[in-house]
Amino acid sequence: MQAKHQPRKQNLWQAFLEKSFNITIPVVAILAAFAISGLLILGWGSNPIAAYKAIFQGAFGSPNAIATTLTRMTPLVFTGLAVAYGYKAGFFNVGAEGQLYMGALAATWVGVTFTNWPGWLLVIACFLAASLAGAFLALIPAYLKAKRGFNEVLTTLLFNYIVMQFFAWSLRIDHPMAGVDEKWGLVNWFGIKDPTQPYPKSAFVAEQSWLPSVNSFLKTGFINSIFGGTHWYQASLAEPALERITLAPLLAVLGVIIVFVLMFKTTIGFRARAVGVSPDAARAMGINVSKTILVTALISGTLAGLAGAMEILGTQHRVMERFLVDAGFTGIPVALIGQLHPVGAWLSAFFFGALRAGANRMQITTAVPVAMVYVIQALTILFAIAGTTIELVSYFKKSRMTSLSERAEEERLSLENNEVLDA
Amino acid sequence: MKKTLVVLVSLLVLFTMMLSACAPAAAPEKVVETVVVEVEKEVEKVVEKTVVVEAEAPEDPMAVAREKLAGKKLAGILSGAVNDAGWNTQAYMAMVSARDTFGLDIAYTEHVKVEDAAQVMRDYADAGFDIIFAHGYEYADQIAQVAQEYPNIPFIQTNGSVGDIKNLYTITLSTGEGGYFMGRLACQATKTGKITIIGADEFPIWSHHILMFKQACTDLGSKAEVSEVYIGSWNDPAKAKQLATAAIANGSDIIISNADSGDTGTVEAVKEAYDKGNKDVRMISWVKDKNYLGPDFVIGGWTEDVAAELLYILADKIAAGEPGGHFAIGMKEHAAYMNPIYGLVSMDIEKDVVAKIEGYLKDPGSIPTLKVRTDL
Amino acid sequence: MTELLRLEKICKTFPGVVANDHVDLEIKKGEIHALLGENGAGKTTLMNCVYGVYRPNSGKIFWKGQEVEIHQARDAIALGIGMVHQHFMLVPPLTVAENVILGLPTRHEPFLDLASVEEKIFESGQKFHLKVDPKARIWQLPVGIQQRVEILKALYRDAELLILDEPTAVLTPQEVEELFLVLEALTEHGLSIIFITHKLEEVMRSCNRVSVLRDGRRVDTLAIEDTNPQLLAKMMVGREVLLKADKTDLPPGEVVLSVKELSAIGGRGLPAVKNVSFEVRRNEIFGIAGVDGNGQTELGETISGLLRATGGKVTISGKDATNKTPFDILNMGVAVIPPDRQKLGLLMNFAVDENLIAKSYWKPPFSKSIFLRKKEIDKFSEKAIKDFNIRTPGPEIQVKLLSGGNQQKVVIARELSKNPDLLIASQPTRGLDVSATEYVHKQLLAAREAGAAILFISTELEEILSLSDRIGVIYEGEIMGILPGKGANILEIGEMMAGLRRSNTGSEQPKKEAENASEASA
Repeated sequence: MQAKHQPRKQNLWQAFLEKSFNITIPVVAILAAFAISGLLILGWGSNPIAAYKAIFQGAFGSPNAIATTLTRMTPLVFTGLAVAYGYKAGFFNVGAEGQLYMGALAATWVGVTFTNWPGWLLVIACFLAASLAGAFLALIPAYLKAKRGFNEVLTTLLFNYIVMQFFAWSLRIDHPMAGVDEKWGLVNWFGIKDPTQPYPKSAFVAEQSWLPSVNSFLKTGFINSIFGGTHWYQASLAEPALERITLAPLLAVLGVIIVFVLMFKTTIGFRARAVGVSPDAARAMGINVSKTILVTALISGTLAGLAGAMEILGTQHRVMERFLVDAGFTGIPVALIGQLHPVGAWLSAFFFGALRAGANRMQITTAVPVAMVYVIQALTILFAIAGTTIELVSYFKKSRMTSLSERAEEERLSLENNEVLDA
Repeated sequence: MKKTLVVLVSLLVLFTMMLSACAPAAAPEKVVETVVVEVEKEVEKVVEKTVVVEAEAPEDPMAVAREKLAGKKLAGILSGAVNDAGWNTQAYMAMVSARDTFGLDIAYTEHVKVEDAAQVMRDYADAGFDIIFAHGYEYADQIAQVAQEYPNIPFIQTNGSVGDIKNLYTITLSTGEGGYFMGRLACQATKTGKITIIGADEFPIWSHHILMFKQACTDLGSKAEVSEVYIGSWNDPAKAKQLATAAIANGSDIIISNADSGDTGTVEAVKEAYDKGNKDVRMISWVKDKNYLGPDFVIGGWTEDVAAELLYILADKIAAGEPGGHFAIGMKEHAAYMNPIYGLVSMDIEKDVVAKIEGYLKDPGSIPTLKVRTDL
Repeated sequence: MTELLRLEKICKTFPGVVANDHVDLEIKKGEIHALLGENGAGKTTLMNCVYGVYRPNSGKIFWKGQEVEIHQARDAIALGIGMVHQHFMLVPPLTVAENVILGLPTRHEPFLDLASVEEKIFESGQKFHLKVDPKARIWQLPVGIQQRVEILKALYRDAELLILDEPTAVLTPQEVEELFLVLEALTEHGLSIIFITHKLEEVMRSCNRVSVLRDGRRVDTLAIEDTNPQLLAKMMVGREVLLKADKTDLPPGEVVLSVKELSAIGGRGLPAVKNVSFEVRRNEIFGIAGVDGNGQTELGETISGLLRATGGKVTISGKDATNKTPFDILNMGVAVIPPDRQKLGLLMNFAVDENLIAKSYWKPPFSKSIFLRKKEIDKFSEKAIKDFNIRTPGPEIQVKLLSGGNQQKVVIARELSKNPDLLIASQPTRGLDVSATEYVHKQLLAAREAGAAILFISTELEEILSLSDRIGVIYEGEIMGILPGKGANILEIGEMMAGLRRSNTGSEQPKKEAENASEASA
């Protein structure tokens, strides 16, 4: 009779599972996609095992490969989070692409304008500008949805095209900081083009705003003083890949944690998810649905805007047309394969990043075209959606549930009997 | 409702991905080759020309280059499909002619996005490729970075501007020569004193050509009125025809057309005018000799040739062991030249232009007003 | 009477669940046979086995003495078995006749022959009290008539056995009466009917025999003459059930809710609440009786802030609550049990614990600034699960995986654990089985004793009569009269519900008569 109510210990993984994240579907979807693509590769006349090995090599086989995987992953994590968070609250943000571009534009603009600011301030200012740009862009469709009932899928999607036009325009207007040939005046402050360049590109953002890399971390006096003499330290310094692994992937992990906490551990996330589950029920429970939609869109847009800033400050350091293609749109499959869970989005962004990084290696070594990875991606999405739609999860959970509830009931009855006996 | 929406949008994304996966025909070389065999022959002609000219030199640098480059592997980074009948086809043809001229092995990746370019270059470098060629201004940052990581491999970039990396060869065309000589031709040939230049889009290289075009007219003391119009697309024959028809109705008798597939529209408009009795009307083609479209009125015009650029860098710089830098390539390197006139202007005018070109090739200083820009 | 259908030792299991455990059942020609059981007792599963939706794991099915194999619904239809599901399988834009012949060949393929179909429908209508306009489109018809179309569909396919899955769940009391007339007419013409239900009074009212299922097993089959509601309830639930609420006498306290001349416009843009006035006091249950769709739902929604009042005034504990947001009203100490728990009462994809705090997550102790405090939430939800006897494997399970009764327990636990001043309980027992209904009644009475004022809206007259201290009868959005609960005359209320009578003062009736009345209703 002792230890009647032993508190159940939950490990971290269980905690995720309980919050509607099931890793089975994505894993099965990915395996199925690889299997079917394998058949295609066989039909192509190549060896699928060799092709997949090449992808793996290209994604993880060398420091360069790992650096590329991480670099490709980072913006996808943020856009994936943006879509997942928005979707959880019933705001299907299809405008992550545009928000990303606006974020990148804003971050770059700050980075090329305030070139004399100290690094830490400039980085924060860049991130802030990117968040504001993304958030502002998401806010308009959110307002239209909350107050006027416009379908956000259409509005966010169409906003992408407006943004792309603005982006292209801005790239063709000389930014005044580098000295303009002909003085246009006020309009130049909307421009980002480096006047010394013949092509529509911005200048590099000020160097102190570039996100620090592992290499620069190793070079700090502190680390140097400890490991300075060791062989591996010198070898690491000589490794160019370490210059390309920046703070950005780490910030992506931080983003995942923050969104996880926000989504599941705060009142803001509680409201957002409630509205996502059922706006009617949420309203009946006293939740201000319009306000929640607005706040959700702000957060979603901020995340998408940050995706752009990460690419600029971490990798490319300047904007040009098509500098990062489809990262915003890819956020949708990333979020879906990730079961709309922050950790899931992170894992699936990692998967997408690795595929992208390994694709060309596959083409070079096995002559299977790069396009095959798009087939794998597409099939994964297809299977993930199929898996979610037939609600495999709830089926399994239900059977588990029933057995659990039976056990609970038996336990209760036996307890009651015991109590009777005790009495 | 929501779920349906998700499924729909996802399917959309999926289809887009599938399309982008299928469309490029990122097939092994052979498949593409058969598609473009026709174009290939023309390139071979160009190559012959180059060989003949170089043969005049005491030592045959081509033979030296062939010896040095045979069996080496050249990788191409292209922004679109090789069968786009434009920018990327040009690059592909350039690589094919390099293969045939020097006995190189070639490979390429299509649809390389800016953010992926660096890794694609690294993959080629790691896989043992000897020369890496990126086609387009957008790869400037990536190629500079990777070139420094692999100092023993030569990198080539078209429309680049970096000049201080010893294994990076960036190339641009010398801009202005074509504009000047076509201007000299057109301003003498016009009888109505009105010339219209139809462009697909406004971009710096083209603008400088037009500037030089007008300069040539000024140098001649011609009062010809030169106007420029833009289609806004490289693929709109209907709009091109409209603009050309309007220009002819306005009194222009010389039409310069640089609009890729839009050129056929210009040809049609000129043909209509010619058939209606306006026998003086002429069109000057650009990039490619389009005389075959209208033998009675299309002047061969001016050609700027990517293949020649690439061959020049491979033979004269890389095979010769010259260090990297920024190279502006033009008439001197046989990458830009005037096409036949087909007797469509009077002999005097043709002689004058040819003489002017020959003088210029001997001494660029002979035309002080012709300003060549190499930074575009 | 001869045997029509016999089931022998039917077993059907789903992963982790035994839905039917060696069930025997015998249906005679021309009888109405009730299949009684709580939700989840396996009634529908058993009938789906008969209709070919599921295949039983073991057991035999005999039709007119012959053993048959039913692989799919088509086989069952061919034998002469028809089934009307809880959710109708009709195509809304098509006409009645078109729906009836859907999937059947016509006499002159490929041409439709609607005229003869319409004629046949009309004949059946005459014969079985199933009057339906064959040319009407489904979406134009009320639910009760749609159900008739479903029955007609089965009859058109020459059904000899008709299975009705909880047919009364969607009907008004009048429509229920009409349905019973139809069923009697059908049996007179030799058809047999299996009537799936969990409502005792319906069994007693209309059936010849009853089989009780509990936990997938058949408890017993009885002729209706040999049983009574008390016995059936005991068989169904497995223990003694209190069919009538135990109510203590409590003097009503001060006025908590005061509604004056309230009007509101409903979902279809028509006035749904018209000039309604009443008061609810502490320790009092004020019942709103009325046939479904007469504005009682809208009345509850208007008071709880979900629907805009177009006129009148709502005062809660002396404070104006007219057209305040649901959040403001919630903070006035108002608890709401909405009529549709799946749509409004619960966040179905949320866990049990999250639903339990869904109205108080934003205040201490459940959150501190913006952060939720897991410990406090766990403590609270574990207590609530225990106190309100919510059967769930754990607080982290999604509520959509719970049974209907347990879902409602979650709603009640959330609403009552904060000791509200006013409780608006709108159809709190809708769709619940006997024991869950009993539980809800107990909780309402407990809240009454704890000092809450309760506005109790229900379409089940019995529970209104047994729980309410005072009863307001609503008809087409108007209060027809307010009567004291004790000694209310059921006939009088019935007439008011039908809009035939109006009274402004509740007339005191002798106690005896009231008791007679409520017994009669049972």
